[in-house]
Amino acid sequence: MMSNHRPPQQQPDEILARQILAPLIGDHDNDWTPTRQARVWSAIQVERAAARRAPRWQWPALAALACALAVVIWSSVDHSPAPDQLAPPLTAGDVATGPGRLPSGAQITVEGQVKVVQAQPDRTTLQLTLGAVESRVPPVPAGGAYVVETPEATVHVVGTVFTVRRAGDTTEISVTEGKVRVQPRSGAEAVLLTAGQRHQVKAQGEAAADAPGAPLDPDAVAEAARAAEAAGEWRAAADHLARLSQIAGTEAARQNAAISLGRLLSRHAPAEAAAHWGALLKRWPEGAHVEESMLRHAQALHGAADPAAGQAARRFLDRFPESPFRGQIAPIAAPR
Amino acid sequence: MTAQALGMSTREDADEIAPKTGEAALIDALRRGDEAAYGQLYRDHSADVFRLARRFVYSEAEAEEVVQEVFIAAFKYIGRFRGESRLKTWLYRITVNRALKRHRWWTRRRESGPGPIEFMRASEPSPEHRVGDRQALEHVQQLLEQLDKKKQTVLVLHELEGLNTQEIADILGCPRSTVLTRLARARGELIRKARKLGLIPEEAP
Repeated sequence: MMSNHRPPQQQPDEILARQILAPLIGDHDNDWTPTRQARVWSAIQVERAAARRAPRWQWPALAALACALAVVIWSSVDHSPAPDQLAPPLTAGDVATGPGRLPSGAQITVEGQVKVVQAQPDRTTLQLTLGAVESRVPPVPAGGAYVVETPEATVHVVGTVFTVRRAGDTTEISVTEGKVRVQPRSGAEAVLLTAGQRHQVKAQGEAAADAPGAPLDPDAVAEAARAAEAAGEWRAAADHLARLSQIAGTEAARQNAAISLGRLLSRHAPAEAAAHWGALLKRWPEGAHVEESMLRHAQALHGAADPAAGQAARRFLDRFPESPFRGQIAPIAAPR
Repeated sequence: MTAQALGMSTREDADEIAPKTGEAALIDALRRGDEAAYGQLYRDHSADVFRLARRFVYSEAEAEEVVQEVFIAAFKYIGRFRGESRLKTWLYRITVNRALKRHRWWTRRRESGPGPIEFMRASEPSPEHRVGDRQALEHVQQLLEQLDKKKQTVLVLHELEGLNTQEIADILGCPRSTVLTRLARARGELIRKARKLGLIPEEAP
């Protein structure tokens, strides 16, 4: 629709605006995946079914009573995920994602992927290379075993609720109920963990490099990060992004992952975010990301009540005096 | 999926569009409570609703929630749809309202900092969006987000979603002349900001 009588350098606003916005055209075209479509449709159906069941003549008093009852019930019941009674139990060779149950009666919830190596009523072995698996394990019979293996450690269970999470070259085990025994693959002494305890096992030397699952595929890690974020599991997403910032194929991709991780931490963990943005700026001191990184660094320091926030904010204002975020950062820079 | 691929008119020269016969039948079925029609409406329009919602909210997860809200509302209130516009226009109207409501909520919650930029945006390099393109995309996205919501909305609906100004007026519930004014101002402001950031050359003297 360009007017012929205009000189080329005097383009109408309509065309210029369209040129500016061109990078955004189609940028979300592939985001509406069949999985996402099915998940949202399922949620809609659940909501509609609930709406159909709800009576149309609710009295306020009845509602209050229902709330009170809900509180009583909520505080008295076990909030563990409901066992998936419709799905068959997992068998050896399966790759589990999401919730699942095993022939032993154990229930698992997987963020990422877990391979089922052994699945017998008295003996279970799971292999975790990425993400996390929470297990709710009924008492294991004498001679039986419930084991979660990672490249760094083997976790033996007696009967408990626990989570094994793997990020980078580190396996973290946290125990909610009961006891687990953690045997590092390095040959170090086993550790017995009880409820409320957490323990990390880091890879050591070549043992980790030869371990199952390594090296990890960057695309799989990015996908796991996306899945974790979609599920609201920000910590798991952060773990994956931290991994991606190390293993992605190009420097730019590693930087992108690190920036994404920083944004995530900025939303959830200011102290961690502050340390992260600081490290990121040391790793990549120049580039298009610097304005955002310095801004978020100062904000994260401020959020973590770190006295260095003011100085970081002033550095930002000195370097980016025309930044659109100047108004937000100026109060942090102001001397106290 | 582009607007053209959906068979939509994209500019002012095609302002008057009558609802399709097939759409009229679908509306009748929806009003009768036909479950298959609900499914068809969702299949036909959920991708568009998601894409539009995604332009106003900060994450894909949140855009999913908007899609859910939009279709639940659409199923519930289909009886109130007068058929004076296309179903898509009506769904877009609900989407814009819901998405902007969420955006306002986030803005109030996060007055001390910029919005939570969708973190996966920078970690999903695709063939279409290699690093250089992605940085350009983020710059433009930030530029767009600096406009006030009224201007941003008309630009998104017109330039990115390909709706004509009458459809936008229907969605926003305002006269077409208002849309035209907002659009002109939005373009002007966008261009000024882009020039300031060096995204486009300075105006020739």
